[in-house]
Amino acid sequence: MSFKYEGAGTSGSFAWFFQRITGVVLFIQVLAHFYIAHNTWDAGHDWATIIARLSNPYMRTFYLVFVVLGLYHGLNGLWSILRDYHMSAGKRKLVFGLVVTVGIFIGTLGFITMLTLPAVQ
Amino acid sequence: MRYVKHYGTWGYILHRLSGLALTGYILIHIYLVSGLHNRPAWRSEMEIFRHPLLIVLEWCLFSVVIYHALNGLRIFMIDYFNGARYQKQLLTAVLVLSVILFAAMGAVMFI
Repeated sequence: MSFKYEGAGTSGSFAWFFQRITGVVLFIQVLAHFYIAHNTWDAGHDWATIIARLSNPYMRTFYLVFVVLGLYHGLNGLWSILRDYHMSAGKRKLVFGLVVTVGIFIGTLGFITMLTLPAVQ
Repeated sequence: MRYVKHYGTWGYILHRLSGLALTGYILIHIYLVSGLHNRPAWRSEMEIFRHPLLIVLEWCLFSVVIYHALNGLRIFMIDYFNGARYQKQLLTAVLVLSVILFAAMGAVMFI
């Protein structure tokens, strides 16, 4: 990622802005998540309780959004920290590729979990 | 990395550290939840989370989330609501509120 001659569109200003927007949404989502899924021990750990909750399509939608925004916000934050360290162009690409790969891999895993649960099918 | 450590810098450093911890946590969390596909394995895995040490760690996780969320709000105010003028007071408010909520959650969880 070179910032030369690419204009503001690739300067990271969108990522900066979107980090704020996702942060505000996640602020609400994470508190809701604590209330919904970790109010009692059973709510967060009992299989039947969790499956019953997730058979509600609105709840699944909530978590699909949560997975996408949470991973994006977290990994974009990680990338912004990594960018503060000097890296050669090659290493920079490698590290960025690694961060994106982890995001896609775990994101896909989260989606598969939400969309293929026993009671959901 | 070397930082010039003014008062506000500590808010910045704590935001980065808590963010790193939470990013690591969300990756592990999504991975563990994918275990819902295997009901018997899920049951035995979740028994681990009855351990007092893990419950205390969950309490700590809550405090990390609360700090990152409140300081995130502070950053939002600095960026969009002229919060840079009173960022120090805001940081104090974030820290005090975090400690209060940490204690309150401790009371809810353990009393």
